[in-house]
Amino acid sequence: MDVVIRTEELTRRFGTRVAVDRVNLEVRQGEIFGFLGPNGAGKTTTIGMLLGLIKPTSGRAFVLGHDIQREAAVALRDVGAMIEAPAFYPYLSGRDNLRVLARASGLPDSRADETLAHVDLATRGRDRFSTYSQGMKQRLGIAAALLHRPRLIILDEPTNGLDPAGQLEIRSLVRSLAGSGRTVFLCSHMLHEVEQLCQRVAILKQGRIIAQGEVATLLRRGVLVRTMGERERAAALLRAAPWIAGVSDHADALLIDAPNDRTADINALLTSGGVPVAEIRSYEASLEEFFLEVTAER
Amino acid sequence: MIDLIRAEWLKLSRRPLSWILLVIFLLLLAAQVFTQFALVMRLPDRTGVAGAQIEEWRRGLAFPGIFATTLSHVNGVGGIFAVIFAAGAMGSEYSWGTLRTQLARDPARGRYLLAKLATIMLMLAVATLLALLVGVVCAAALAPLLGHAIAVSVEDLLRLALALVRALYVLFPYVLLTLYATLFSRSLLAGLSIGLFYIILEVSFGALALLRVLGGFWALAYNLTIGQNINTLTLMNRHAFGLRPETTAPLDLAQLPSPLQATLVIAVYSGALLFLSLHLIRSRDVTGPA
Repeated sequence: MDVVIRTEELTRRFGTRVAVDRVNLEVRQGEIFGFLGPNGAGKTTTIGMLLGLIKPTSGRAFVLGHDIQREAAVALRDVGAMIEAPAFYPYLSGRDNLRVLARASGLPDSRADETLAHVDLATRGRDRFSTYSQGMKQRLGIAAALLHRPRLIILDEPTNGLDPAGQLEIRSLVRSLAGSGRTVFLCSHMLHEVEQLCQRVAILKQGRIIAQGEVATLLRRGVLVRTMGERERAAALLRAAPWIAGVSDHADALLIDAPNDRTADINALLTSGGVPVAEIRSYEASLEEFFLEVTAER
Repeated sequence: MIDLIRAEWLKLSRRPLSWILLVIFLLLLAAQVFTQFALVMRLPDRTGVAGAQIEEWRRGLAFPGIFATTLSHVNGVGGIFAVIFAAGAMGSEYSWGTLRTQLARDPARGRYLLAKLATIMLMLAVATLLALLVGVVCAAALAPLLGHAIAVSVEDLLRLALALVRALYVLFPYVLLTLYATLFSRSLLAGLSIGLFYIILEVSFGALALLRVLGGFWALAYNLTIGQNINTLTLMNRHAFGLRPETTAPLDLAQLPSPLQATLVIAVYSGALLFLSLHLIRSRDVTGPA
């Protein structure tokens, strides 16, 4: 599978502060890749370096196979991006803002109208950008990213300020982009959104990648057991079973690393050992829980 | 490059600030012409320096003197407008965050800056042409009242083409200084302030002019300032259309730099400012809205 973004020990310092610290990322062709992290973690700085806007202090970034430091023009020819809040000329209409970008890229003006229709802004295309709602501004930002039909799309908080219906629209748009073979690098605070859309994620904290991989692999799964007292004895009984890989505390219950189809066996094991079971069910952590767990201060 | 210039043209031609500046600039030109006309009509029979001044104003309202009056307006008040326009064109890209939107798509920053500079100069050229049109219309309207003929020779038009280039060349270092200051500060207001401050400073160089009587280094230093070299070119524009400002103003033609020196000195200043601006935009990080 082709790699469309690869970074090698990418680092950026601002004075003594390390904003991005030896980041190694790999994003593959056609996937929706989630890039997460708390505020100030270094996400926008990383995106800035991927787009050649911010120079790395050390390390390298390759976009679509080209070194961004040496071949930025070739690398970015097939990249569309919306970084943080969409930035446009307030006195120009949405259509004219896109025409400015189309002209600068040597595209025909008609591309602006086609792209506006693609993001459902055709009817408001001739209105000034300054009169747009936050949701319309976001959609225009996405339209600008799609204008030259790029292979790689970098979206930073694309559903910011959108109502639920708007968020749903953008999610289906992102899915359709990935479905057409494009790669989407999605930076979002909406963890449920990332969980729904992304195959793989990377989580950044204080400039460092603290988790990266398939969403399905990163999220904890198992069987959740809540006993009526005697939790220590229940844990000891379960740990002794050879088909149980691990037992850990999870709030007021135990999370057992075992296949979901062994729920009945777990129940039998505990009741035969004299531990009354209050609740037993299969469990999968949400990305939100995982995110909070890995980004919590240790 | 042409694509980038078309994009810049669309941005700047749709910007209300561009039109506001243009209208004020043209109104000020019309006001200057009508003030000169009023003075010529009300004070017709003065003698001495006052008489010479009235005669100079009269020539400035006739053809082809109106061309010199208009280009003098371009290089005087127009310099202030050019600074405001250039600071707005570059500084707003920082304040709105649109520089990042643009450069994330096309990372050739040098090309971007050159396209912006070319568009600013093209727009200043259009503004100058419009000013000439307003000047001509005003002069034609006043000609019967002043007893002037409306006549322009082919030679006048050829001289006008050259004078137009000279007038824009004079604006070039101011535009570049403002662009550099805006890039350096990443701020419209700071760029504008520095550009205007330089113009004020140049006016106050009059005090420095006194030092040139000492000769040697002081005379050389004074003759290497932008303002002094620009004086040569603006004076050439006035002479091209029959005006003689030295008859009424304390202009020592012998002390002014030669046309060749003036052209070269302005080219050196402009080249240095362009080099520094390109270096700045290429070497710095591009971040979000200020």
